[in-house]
Amino acid sequence: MSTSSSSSKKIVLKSADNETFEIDEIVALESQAIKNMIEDECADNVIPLGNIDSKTLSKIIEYCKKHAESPKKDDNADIDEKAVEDLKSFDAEFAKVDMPLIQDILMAANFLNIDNLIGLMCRTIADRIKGKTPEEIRKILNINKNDLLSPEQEAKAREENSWAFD
Amino acid sequence: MNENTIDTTDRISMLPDFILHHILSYLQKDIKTRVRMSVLSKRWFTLTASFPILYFHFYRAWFRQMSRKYDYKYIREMFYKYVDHTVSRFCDRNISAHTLNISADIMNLEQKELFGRYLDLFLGKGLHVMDIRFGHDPEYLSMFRLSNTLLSASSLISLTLYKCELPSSLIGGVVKFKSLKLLSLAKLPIEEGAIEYLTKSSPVLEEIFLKCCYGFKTFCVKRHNLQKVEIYHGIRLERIDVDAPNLSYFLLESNKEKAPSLFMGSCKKLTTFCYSRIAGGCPFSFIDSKLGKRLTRRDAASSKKMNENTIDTTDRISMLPDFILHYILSYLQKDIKTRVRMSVLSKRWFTLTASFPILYFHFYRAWFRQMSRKYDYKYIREMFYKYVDHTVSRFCEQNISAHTLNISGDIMNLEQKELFGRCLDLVLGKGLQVMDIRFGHDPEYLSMFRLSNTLLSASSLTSLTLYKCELPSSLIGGVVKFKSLKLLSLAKLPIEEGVIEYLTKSSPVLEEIFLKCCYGFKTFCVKRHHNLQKVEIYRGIRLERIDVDAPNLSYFLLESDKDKAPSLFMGSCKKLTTFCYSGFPLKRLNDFLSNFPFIENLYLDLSSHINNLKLSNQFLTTLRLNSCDLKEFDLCLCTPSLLLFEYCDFFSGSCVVSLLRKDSSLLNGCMKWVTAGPLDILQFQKLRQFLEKNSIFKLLKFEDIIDVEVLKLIQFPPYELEHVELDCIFEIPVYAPLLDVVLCCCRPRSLTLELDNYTDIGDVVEYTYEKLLQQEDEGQTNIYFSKDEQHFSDLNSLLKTPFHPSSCKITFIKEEVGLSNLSVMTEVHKVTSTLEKWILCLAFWRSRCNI
Repeated sequence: MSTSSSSSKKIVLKSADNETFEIDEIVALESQAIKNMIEDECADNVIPLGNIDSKTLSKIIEYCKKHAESPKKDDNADIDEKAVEDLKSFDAEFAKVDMPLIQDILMAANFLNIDNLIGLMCRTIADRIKGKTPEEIRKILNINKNDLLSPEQEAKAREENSWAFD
Repeated sequence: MNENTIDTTDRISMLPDFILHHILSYLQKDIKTRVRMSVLSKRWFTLTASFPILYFHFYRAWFRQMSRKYDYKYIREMFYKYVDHTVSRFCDRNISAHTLNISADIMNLEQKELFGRYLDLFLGKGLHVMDIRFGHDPEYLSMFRLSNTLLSASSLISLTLYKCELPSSLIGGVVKFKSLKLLSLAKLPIEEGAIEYLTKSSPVLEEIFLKCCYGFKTFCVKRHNLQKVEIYHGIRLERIDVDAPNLSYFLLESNKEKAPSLFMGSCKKLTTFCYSRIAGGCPFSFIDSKLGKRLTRRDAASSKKMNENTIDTTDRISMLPDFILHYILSYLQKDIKTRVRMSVLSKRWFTLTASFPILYFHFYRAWFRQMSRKYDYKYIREMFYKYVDHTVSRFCEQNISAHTLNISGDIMNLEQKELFGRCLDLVLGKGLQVMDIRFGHDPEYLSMFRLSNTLLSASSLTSLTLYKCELPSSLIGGVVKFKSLKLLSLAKLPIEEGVIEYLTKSSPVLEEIFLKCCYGFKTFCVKRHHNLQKVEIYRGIRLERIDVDAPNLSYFLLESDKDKAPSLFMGSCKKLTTFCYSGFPLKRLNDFLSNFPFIENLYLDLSSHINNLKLSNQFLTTLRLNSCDLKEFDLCLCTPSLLLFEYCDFFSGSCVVSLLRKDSSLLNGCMKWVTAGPLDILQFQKLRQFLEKNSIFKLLKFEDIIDVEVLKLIQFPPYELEHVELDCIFEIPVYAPLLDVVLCCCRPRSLTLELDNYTDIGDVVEYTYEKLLQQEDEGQTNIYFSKDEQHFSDLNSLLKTPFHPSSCKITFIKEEVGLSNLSVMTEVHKVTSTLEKWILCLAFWRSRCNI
């Protein structure tokens, strides 16, 4: 038995509440932002993520781990249908969290530049507001009350497409 | 001799323009040499005239270099003359300018007018970088003011102004700064509200730099992607209101007496915050990143505290950049009700829905489907047209470019036709990239919708799909500017003779053409085109001649007539890898096919039989052949890479090709056999002969009914095959004799049965198992069973497990262990996979057995 000499490189991430997470470099590479940092050789020690709390970060790491493990779709290689299905059900399960966490994950994914995760969160948000009334959607999305249209504006907008508001 | 000739070769001039321009760029400040270059040769004359970086620095270049020899007044004169000359020479040419960099004094009205004219000229030339600095403004002259031409400079990326006023009708005007990333203003008056209006009109703006500007008290940026703001001394601000979630750098030098109110609560990503009340002598350039971070944290903490008091729940979604919110909207395209409701949520969402660059109007897929339960057809129609009109006009009022326009609807009257015409023209003027227009149900009293000539100048278009929608009338001979077009797809519309040739010629980067049911032309001609890779011509087009000269073409598909073949000229398409043809056999087919040395996939669906087909090609991997009568047909294969040969004895009339995908794991030599009627003895004999002649085939798949009575009569010596697959299985009385014949004639080493739910699965499995054992009358037998990935040790436990209700596949594999041992392996699987996957699965099993 020969022990492998290529022990995978580790990356340490630090959340806003000062919790540290040690992950494999391959997992960290799911984030385009961290990938750029590593390529620019400015990710030697700990990467501080001052705007992501540990709850969100651990969730994101869970996502990146799963996606890093799954085989990537190459042009010539066979697409493993089972792995694709597996990843789909993982994503579906992953998205079953409350709205504040979805929003936190989306903001963090945007910051870390993880394309797939942004897409997944956007889709989840869209699914949750489908068929809801504006009042319900405002509540779901926590729309800023200071940003509402003026009553006249809103009445006009509703009038223009009255069929959508019954 | 060599030395003599090389001496005189002007190798530098042979270099491409951009390299020589690079050389010139180093000579910008050395104005003498720069001017001398222009008289070197014709080539250099042209080069200096076409140099797209126009650099006119009076002090840095002219005065510095010339002041020792000439007096000030003379240098000035020469400078203005040079500027005038260079500008007019450059603008005579049809090239776009990159940078205009002017740094000069304006001493009199004449010079002021001169510069005004130059700037207008350049702004019309697609200028990217504009840097204008005017010094020494005499009191008798008002400050230079830029004309309104500036506002429509949509190509501008960087704008720097010093002592140079912005256009007067800025606020409320149509500002088209859609590319602007950097805005730097110094020593000039700014109207109240101009900053807010400018940032709003510059959607991709990243950096603002202000210094010593006056005339305004509020610096306000509404919701924006801005990253850096620097406000240096000399600006007396009272209120700063920045709503930029991605802002990372903020610097403010305030005045001594009074600090402005600062509202930046939404700038959560700020990493550097610099604030000073000391005017002048800026210490900020020394701030290191550590200090910046410390400041940020305090700022973030305090803003968080403030937020908590005023807003109870944070609207975090709205803080995200537009593209993410647009992403969410894109998932709501078909749910038109929710999509519309989003627009009244808040101001932010109102703006977002109005500026969503994907315009999707699908009557049936979105509207009819969602509303038909509640409203009648006529009312849904009315609402649909109203919505299209409203959405398009609202979108086009804004200064943003459109990405996709996707219309699928019916045109019932002239009014609707005009409405769509108007909408298309509007959106085409907005830098549209993807256009997909499908009109259904055209009533007889209306002519087909015809696109206007606006289409021809849509240079940003990358994909164009039209269905029942005519091309502009003045296409041929018109100026077609499809310089970005990569995909062209036309269906159910008339095409004039010559249009294809003209369109492909005018679309230099075109990669794919797709035609279906188009009419009005008989020739498909593509003249020398280097980017074309794929051509698909589906049924319904009666072509007589096809002439394609595209050296990089890799995929060609043609569905032709049943009774007549067009003349095909494709000799130059040497890189073709896939060729699909359906229709009457082409003349001299063998010769034609020999044109393509790298062909990998060949699909021939021939309406009439041909006598022989000779294929000698070392790259061919898949071959599908329809409609050749095998009895009189001589197939000669010399194809060492062939993986799959699918034979079918009837003409299908279409090129629906599903098995053409590459699969490296496919084992060598699989043959699939499909017959329309019962397989008769002659056909089977021919097949046997063919298999014997082409011993590359190890796998055989029968599809459809096999006439057992006929097969029984065959008395050939057994031909050993690796694998046989049977698709149609009946009850035991039919199945039993069929299995006998297959086992006797083909002696497969493995056998796959596809079982339907009406088959008595238990009996079939047991019978097959017994038969396979009988075939090998010697040696011990080891039996393994598995379902999915679960293994069973005996037949009974396999049969006890529930079978999939609809259908399942069972594979038997005989494997010789050592010399005398035989094992039969059985595997049960849900039918979700293709043949290729099954072969993969077998390979997997085989390797297990060998352990």
